[in-house]
Amino acid sequence: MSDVLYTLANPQRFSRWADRLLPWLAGATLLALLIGQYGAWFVAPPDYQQGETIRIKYVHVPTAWMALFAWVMMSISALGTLIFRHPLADVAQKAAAPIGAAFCAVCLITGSLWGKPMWGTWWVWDARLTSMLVLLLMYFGVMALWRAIDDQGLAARAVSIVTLVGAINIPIIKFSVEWWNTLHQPASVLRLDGPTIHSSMLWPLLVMGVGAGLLFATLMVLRMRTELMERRLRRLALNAVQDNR
Amino acid sequence: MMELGRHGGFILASYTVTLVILGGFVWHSVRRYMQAKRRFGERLGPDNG
Repeated sequence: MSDVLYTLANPQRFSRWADRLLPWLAGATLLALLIGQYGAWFVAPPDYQQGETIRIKYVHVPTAWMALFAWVMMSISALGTLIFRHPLADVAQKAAAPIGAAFCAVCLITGSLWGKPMWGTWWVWDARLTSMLVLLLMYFGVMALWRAIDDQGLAARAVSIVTLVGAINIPIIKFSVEWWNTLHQPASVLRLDGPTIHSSMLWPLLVMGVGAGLLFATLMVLRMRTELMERRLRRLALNAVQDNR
Repeated sequence: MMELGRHGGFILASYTVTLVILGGFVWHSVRRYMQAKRRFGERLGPDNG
């Protein structure tokens, strides 16, 4: 593992590796999402209480997982920036924030669209929903911070500290349904005593989870590669200006 | 096509929102990547990406 991190620490090596990997990642993402959607619509039965509305869960739950995972990934990258000074850690952090925000927004909106017919309301200020909304606002905050500071090194350190402080919200989101009395139901898949949903519903959900994970990975590699090219172009433009003086 | 029941509008709206947000995000990311790659090629040649 450390060998891989060391190998990819060279931005040019990472770029070559990314260009080769991207078509395979994109293909695997599409395949997993198609299989997951087939399972969600044509294999999984309607829920005995929720009826067909359960279909919303096949996008709501995987996007929620990815919204949390993106922040965990940003936190690991923040440690990479602050402690190990890995040259790609801040690039990964910058790439992950908008992806996490997109997944988080989809999770909140689809949750609301499920809540109206099932709970009779679009929104309640319970611990799970509120902490997810806080996560979305934290993503926006981090994205704004990247834009607000011109010096990329300084921005990376500031974002790293904010990210690590904000990581406290991740266990709060995960365990909010157990620590407080919430309208949101408790976990039914990621539980110590195993999933509580039937296998005919579980496998499409897990395949959609894999698809969402692969989509996250594809977008990460794509945006990191883009960021590296843009940084090098900015450096070249800056050098050209200095040479002309 | 299966019968979506009386909450079909909410289900379709959920999938539409997902497609618009994530699809739009993918489209934007790919476009930015292609633009950066083209500018990079113009500046340094296609083999230096």
